[in-house]
Amino acid sequence: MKALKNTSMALLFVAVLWAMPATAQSSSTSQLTDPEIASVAVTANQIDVDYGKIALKKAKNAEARKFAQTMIDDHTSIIDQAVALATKLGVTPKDNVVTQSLLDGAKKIKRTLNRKKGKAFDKAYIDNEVDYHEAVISTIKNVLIPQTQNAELKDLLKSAMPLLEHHLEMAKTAQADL
Amino acid sequence: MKTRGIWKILLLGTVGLLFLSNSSPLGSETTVLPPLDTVVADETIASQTVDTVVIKGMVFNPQELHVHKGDTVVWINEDIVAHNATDFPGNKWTSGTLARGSSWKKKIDETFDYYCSIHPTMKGKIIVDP
Repeated sequence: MKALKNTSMALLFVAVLWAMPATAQSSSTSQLTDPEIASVAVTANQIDVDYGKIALKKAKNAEARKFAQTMIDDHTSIIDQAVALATKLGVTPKDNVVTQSLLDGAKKIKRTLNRKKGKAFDKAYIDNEVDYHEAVISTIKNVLIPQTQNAELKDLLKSAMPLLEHHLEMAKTAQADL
Repeated sequence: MKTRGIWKILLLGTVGLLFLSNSSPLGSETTVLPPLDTVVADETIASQTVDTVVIKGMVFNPQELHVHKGDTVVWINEDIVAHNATDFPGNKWTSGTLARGSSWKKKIDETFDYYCSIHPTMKGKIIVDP
């Protein structure tokens, strides 16, 4: 559980660091380009699809399973639209430090989730969904939206915010019921 | 020869006219009736009030819609993910999954609450005014 919390905190730290004014940042935290932002957006969604797939294999609780299926469907839908937009704009998503940070965090979380069983898994999955959505919402709001240049990509990121906030509320409700 | 030719044309024309005048009432029944049905149906639809609920940004807009009994409401999903419109709290009816860009209509006979069963905090209400 501690590992899960720490990983989300690290992601939040990345989000806050990227949101700082350029003058206060080190050279490693420079402005993200649109291809890099597309990469972060697709990766962040894919990670939650992957968590959902683990949950469908392992979760016992009906609410946790329903939530996992919704996460798979909704985040896959966003990936489809992000990929379609990138294709339309001729943008190839480009790997970057934030994408790598997301993937590193996800690797640790998947390892932790895969070690758990039964009710302990259900709780760990839902707890992580609360933390992960909080971190992703913060990253999109404070980093990705302000730094995106292309108007259509910015609109897609903005349109995902109510959905992610809704997912967070759903995860908190499930958390309270477990 | 020439006179006989003219008579032939006149005779054929008369027979043709007689045939047409006899067959036209029958023709109008068989060929016109189906379009008449269509016209009646179109007029019925045109005389109904059709209200729209747009699903976008994780809300039903408007969240509360006032209609008259017998009106039709169309739900259009303009959001970035799939949704549905489902009776709340009894789940007595559902639109089924409404993919992005799709719509569903329902004739309204009574006031009801509804929600999206995929995203349960999305709620709406249709109110039948007297």
